[in-house]
Amino acid sequence: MSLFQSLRVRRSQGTQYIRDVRSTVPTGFRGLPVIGEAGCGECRGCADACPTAAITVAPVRIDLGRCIFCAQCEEACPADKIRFTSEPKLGAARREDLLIAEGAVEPLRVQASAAFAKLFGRSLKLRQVSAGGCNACELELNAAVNVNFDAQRFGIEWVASPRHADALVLTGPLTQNMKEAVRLAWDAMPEPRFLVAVGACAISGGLYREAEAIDRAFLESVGPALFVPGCPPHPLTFVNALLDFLGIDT
Amino acid sequence: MSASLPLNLLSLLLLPLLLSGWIQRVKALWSGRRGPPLLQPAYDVARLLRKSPVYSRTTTPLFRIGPWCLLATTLGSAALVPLCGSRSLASFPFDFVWFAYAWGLGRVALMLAALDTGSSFQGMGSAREATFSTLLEPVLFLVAAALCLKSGAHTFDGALRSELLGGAWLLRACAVLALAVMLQVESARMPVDDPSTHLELTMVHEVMVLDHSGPDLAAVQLASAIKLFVGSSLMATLLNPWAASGGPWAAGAQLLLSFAVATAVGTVESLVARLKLRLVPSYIALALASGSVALLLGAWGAAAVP
Amino acid sequence: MSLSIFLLAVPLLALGAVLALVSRSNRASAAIALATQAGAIALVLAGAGRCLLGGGAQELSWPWPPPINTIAFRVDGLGAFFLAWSLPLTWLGTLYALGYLRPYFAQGRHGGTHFALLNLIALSFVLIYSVQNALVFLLGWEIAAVAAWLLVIWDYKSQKIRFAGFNYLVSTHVGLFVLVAAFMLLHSKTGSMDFAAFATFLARPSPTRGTVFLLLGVAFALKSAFFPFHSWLPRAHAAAPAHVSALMSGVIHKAGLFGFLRFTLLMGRPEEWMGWTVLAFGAVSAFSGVLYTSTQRDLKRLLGYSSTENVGIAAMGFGLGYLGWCWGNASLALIGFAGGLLHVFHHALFKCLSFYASGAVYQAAHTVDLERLGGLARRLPRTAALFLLGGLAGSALPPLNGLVSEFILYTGLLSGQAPAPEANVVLVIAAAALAFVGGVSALSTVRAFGVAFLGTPRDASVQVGGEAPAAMLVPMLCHALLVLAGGLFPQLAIELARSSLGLFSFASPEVLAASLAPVGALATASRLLAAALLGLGLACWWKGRAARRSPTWGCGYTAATPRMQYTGSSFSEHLARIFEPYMPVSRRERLPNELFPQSSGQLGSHHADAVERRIFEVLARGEDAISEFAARIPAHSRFAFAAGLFAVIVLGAVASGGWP
Repeated sequence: MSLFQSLRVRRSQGTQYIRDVRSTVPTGFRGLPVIGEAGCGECRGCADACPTAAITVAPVRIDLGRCIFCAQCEEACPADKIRFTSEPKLGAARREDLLIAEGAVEPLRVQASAAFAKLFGRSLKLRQVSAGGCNACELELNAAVNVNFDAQRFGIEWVASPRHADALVLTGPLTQNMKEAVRLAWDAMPEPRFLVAVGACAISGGLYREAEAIDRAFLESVGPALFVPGCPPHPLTFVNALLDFLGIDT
Repeated sequence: MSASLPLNLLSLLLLPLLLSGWIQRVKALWSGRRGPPLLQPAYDVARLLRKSPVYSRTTTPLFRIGPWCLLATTLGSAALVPLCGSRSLASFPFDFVWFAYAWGLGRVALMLAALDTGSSFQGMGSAREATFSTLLEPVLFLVAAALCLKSGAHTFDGALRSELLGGAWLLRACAVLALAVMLQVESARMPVDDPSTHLELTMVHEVMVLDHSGPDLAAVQLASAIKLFVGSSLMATLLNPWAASGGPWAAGAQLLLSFAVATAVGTVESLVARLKLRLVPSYIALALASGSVALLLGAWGAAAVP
Repeated sequence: MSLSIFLLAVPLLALGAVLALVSRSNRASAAIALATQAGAIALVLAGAGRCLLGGGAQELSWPWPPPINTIAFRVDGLGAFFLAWSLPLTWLGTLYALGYLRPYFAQGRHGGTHFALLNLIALSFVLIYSVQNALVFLLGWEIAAVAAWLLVIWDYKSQKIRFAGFNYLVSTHVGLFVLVAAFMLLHSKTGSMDFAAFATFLARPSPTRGTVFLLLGVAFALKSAFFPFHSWLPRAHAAAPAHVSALMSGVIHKAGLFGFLRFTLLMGRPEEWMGWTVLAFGAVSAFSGVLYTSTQRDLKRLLGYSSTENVGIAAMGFGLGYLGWCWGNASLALIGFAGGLLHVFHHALFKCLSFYASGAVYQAAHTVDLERLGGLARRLPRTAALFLLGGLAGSALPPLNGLVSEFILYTGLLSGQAPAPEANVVLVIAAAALAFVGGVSALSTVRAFGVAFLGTPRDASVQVGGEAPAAMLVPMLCHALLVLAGGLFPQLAIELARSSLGLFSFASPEVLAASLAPVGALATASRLLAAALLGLGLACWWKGRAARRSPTWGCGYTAATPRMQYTGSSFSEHLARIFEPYMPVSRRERLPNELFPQSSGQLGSHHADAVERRIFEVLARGEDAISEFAARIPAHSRFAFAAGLFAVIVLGAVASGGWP
């Protein structure tokens, strides 16, 4: 009896996975900021409006690693230089690649790591540790394996123990209370392994970069291999960053 | 059949991971996902083989041997079961006793490796696994004895594929039901255990392997897949009308039935919630009851003693 | 005559006992005991060896003053089989005692008595396994019982140990009384005390034969610690030194099973109800014993209950043998008796190993309480490996010897050779019960080894000393090698038992070979598995040495303590709860109930022996009833009461005098 009910429910749901995660652009999403080449009066309106000091002027540069995508800069600029598009592909393998310069309109391209592509190209298991996160990044990371984004089709999955994992996905600004736990999780992972920093807090400390309760020594000793900016990042940002990193083209 | 030996070996090499992949695909279909490719378990195992393991400081060499002991005993037991519709790789009188105790040794090795870590999670997993598999032990014997009595053969292979089982569909159905529950308990499937949960308090089998890494974890996953394959081969042989005669019809039907069993496992896993742990013994009692009915049917329909 | 050579062992052992008793130094006592026992082994094997290798039985008669008249000695295959391993295992136990008791000797205790008693135990074996006269049999029985009691109370300073010994003494004498009753019944029917005369009576079915069977069954069940006659066993094993527990469990109490088989041979073809009774009794014993094994926290009590389980399994084999004999199925009967006999032998080997290993644990840690131990494998690696081997063999796991005898039983129970479908069903249910017992036994092994030897130490106050000395390791190694050999080359044990199996009237070499043929295939499979495990083990160990180490993953929890590990009680809690009606549990708890407790709470659970508790309940109620009755007698009518009692006695004497 319930089997028929289940079949009916299943039929009504249809297929729900996004067929092409590479080219899908979500609606209503504040993604890649594009800085126009129009004249800048150096009023420092954008830099002063930014809560995380992500913007430098002359020339105007936005550090996506600090950006919390609040769009105050877009509002503050009298020359309409800054415009947030809906492009979700924001990941980078090097910290300096996260600096958006004037005139750049292409989505960021993550440099694929040949070694990791060979090892993890078909199967990548991730362990998530929230080092003082507010749960926004964690919810979005959780969503990366739901029926819509279905990262498992690429062999990417969350696992229950760092011993089973290849990559440690870190969110949150790295508080002192979580310092030892993060170190334990990293030590528990078998080689080869790499670190992924997800969200503004993990990459740069975000809004909390000057708080007393932060201890980011771990990130200095173990450099992240992949940065996924956002506050919180869209699941498409995360999935695309990983796919680029592993050289999976689909 | 002289052709059965390489065919059996081939199926033992290829099918376990493929069947696991098929179950994952079935679950994906039920939830509306695209799902991982069919060979994903093989890719996972390949990746694990290339990692270098990390061991806990609390563990002894027993921890390193455990998963490989499990794999060795599972492979050894797989040799006794007809995998491809015709004869098994090896058989001797009362080999199902060896089968049951070899699985027992593998399980003991894994449980000891889990206790070796000194972690309360792993102790919990060992305790649960020990309790459920202990309650389940008689089931295989009841089913095997029922088949032996009915068919007059005393080897696992002979009893499963006997012509005398031809019309005994009620006996076969009861045996298949009992074996289905056994499959779910031994291979850690719903409704006894959820293979994809991350909450330690809800795990039975997965929590025992939380500390294994690299090739050891690959061995555990491979052994799990082989156990699943062997369990579904047992059920498929009983449901296969051509099992007694062997040949290409038997092999084809066996293949289809194995995938059908895997589909059923995946469907149950998608639609049924996990049982409360307090209720699992009652679920196992269901298997015992089914096995007992099979035994009664087998005894009263027994072949004449030669 | 070779049997005279054989009997020289008796005075040799007695001499050794006396010398050991009076010798001043403990080392000299030990040396005397070991030397005389070795000499006795040589004499026994010289005298009885030919019988073991297929020659016929050897007999000897000694005239003796009345009422015994003659003492007949007869060493046949059965006696030779039991002697062939009982005496060497006792020798190994004496060697172990040398190492185990060293701390006591260092404090000035005199060990002469102990070694003398061990000699007396060996002496009792020579008597019990060869004599054909009921009175001398009882003498040997009593010597074994009293010697064992005195050995148990080695630590007599402790009141608990004295009580355990007393409990054992009372129980074993209850068994003696029942045995005496059976012999008196037989004597009244045959007029003689010779087993040969008993044989002619027992060969014909009669109600008395049934009664004698039941009485002997109870007596031997008490001796071998079958359920529900086992209540003395856990206390005695917990109290006794490790080697005494080992010898009691492995060797001394097998005399009960020997007696059972001896009377089976005297009786000849049994009735069917006897077979079913023995099978059921064995199954109940195995089932109850193993359930208790899974819940004990004292390692030696745990092993004691495991002995109850294993003699139950052997009895299941004997029951199957009875049934096969009754049904005229020679193959089935041989399978049953062979399985039972081999299980008796294999059990002696692996149980002694387990007890010796637990003795090594006690010597190092001064406790055998599972909940206080942990991580012993790091400090005592050799003991750990040996304990694991003994435990795995006890759970009948391949490729060790426990599986061989249980496999033989399975070939009989699952063969479908009973004459009726109902009988086949019952036999299969017995096999399923055996499988369940094996599963629980594996659970207990994992629990005992895992909690005591793996993980980290649970109680910081337990100081762990060093590995066992050579005197203790050598017996353990011998047992371990025999356990391995028994699993990989089972034909050796079968050859050893061949002469005893040949005593059955239906046995013939062809039938024996045919019925035990599947064991050959099992042996091949075991050898393959052992080779694979050896190879894999070496490879894993080698490759793993250079691997990186990190703390156990505990979900990043930074305040984990060893107390958070799973304990023995937690491990078996679910199973114990399912079977709670059979295993009453008492919990003591003082749990904190404030939100922020200032002091720690306490929680302890204890599984008492249900039979012991019931016995004490009945005794207590009986005692209450008697004292109530006595209290109702008014004081001034005491004279009338005494007169009435006197009258009852006189009447009883008159009445019984009138009986023939």
